[in-house]
Amino acid sequence: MNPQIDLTDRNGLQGDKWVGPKPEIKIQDLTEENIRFTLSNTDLSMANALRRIMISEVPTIAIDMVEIELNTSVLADEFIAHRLGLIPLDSTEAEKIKYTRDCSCSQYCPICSVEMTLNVKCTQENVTKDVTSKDLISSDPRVVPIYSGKNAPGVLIAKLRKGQELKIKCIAKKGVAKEHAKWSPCAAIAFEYDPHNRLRHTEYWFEEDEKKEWPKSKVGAEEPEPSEGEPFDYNLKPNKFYFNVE
Amino acid sequence: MNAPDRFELFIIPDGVKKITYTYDPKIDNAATFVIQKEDHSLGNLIRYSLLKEPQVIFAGYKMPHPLEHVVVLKVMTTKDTKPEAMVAKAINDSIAEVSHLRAKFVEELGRVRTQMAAAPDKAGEKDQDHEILHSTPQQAQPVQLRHQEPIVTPESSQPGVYLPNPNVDMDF
Repeated sequence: MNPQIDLTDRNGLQGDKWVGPKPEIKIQDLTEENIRFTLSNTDLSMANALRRIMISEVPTIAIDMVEIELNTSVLADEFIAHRLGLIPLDSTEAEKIKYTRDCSCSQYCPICSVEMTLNVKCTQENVTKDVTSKDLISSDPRVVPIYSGKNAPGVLIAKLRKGQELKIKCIAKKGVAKEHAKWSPCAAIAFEYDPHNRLRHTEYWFEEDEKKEWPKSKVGAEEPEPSEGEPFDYNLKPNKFYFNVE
Repeated sequence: MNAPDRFELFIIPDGVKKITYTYDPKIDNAATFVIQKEDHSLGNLIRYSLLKEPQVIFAGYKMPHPLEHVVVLKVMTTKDTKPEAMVAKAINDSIAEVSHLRAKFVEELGRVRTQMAAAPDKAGEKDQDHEILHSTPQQAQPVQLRHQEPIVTPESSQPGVYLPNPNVDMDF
């Protein structure tokens, strides 16, 4: 057996104790809308599972059913219903709301849904009234449309002229983005590893000189740059993963 | 019109087990596991977890068809263990790793928030438009992390001890 291979490292076992690789996480930047962190000491499959789950399997709340009582705007009912579905709602309390399919009610009830109403009419002459997510009145103060910053205008739903009216009842439900992207909790996730392409998981196309033509990765400083003519180690595994979740 | 229902991605139909397995008729200590309604997130993770074990000779997974939300996992082990025992161990190890990661994240989040509360001016400069997550260290402690897999205590993920996850219908 090759003496260089450390069995304890591969197996994660020492006697009866789990001493396997313990993943590390380091947050570089944190705001209300963005988190940048580095995950290390784990495998690509774990990092990728984390990324996939953040995109598609974290439950959130979004408008799922729309009852249109009155729509005299220029937009079609379906059009408005679709726009309502995409409005981001505060999903901090998503855990306390049941999935409708797990609920005992037949269609929806306060345990598995939140009701919202939109009731706007334009009465002024020569004015275009903007209907935004700020006009949505929620029955539950925990589940409300969210805005970036205090003075944000809200999400535009429709524009009304004099005499036009919208009277809509919306039912917001819990779901995951696997079913529909409106339930996705994040906008984008940047995921990067191996900034110097040491593992040769990718091949850079170039005209004359690879180093001149390709910009350096922003996280490149985090890992040592390979020296010129370093032999390729095909046993290397990625170990540091850079995330940026919006 | 013919599109399959989206909920087929994650709802297991009545009477179907989450995970089933059959032994390979020709190879000893080899089995094929079929996991319903899962994808590469879980398949790849278990495969990696299995390959860490020295008793596992082969572990591979596939999703046979993009419209069938099924993961097929093939495992072959040495003769001193059984494929199902190794898969159970791999799942427990993954759960232990994820719960460790979760604890680390909560810890790190508490650290960053404390730092921000200590130097709010600097944070405000960076991002004036957005409310920075201010909180005192006391508040930062019980950070709510939602939507996690049920956490198995480290005791149950010790090697050799297999405690079935109540949420997974495994019939070993």
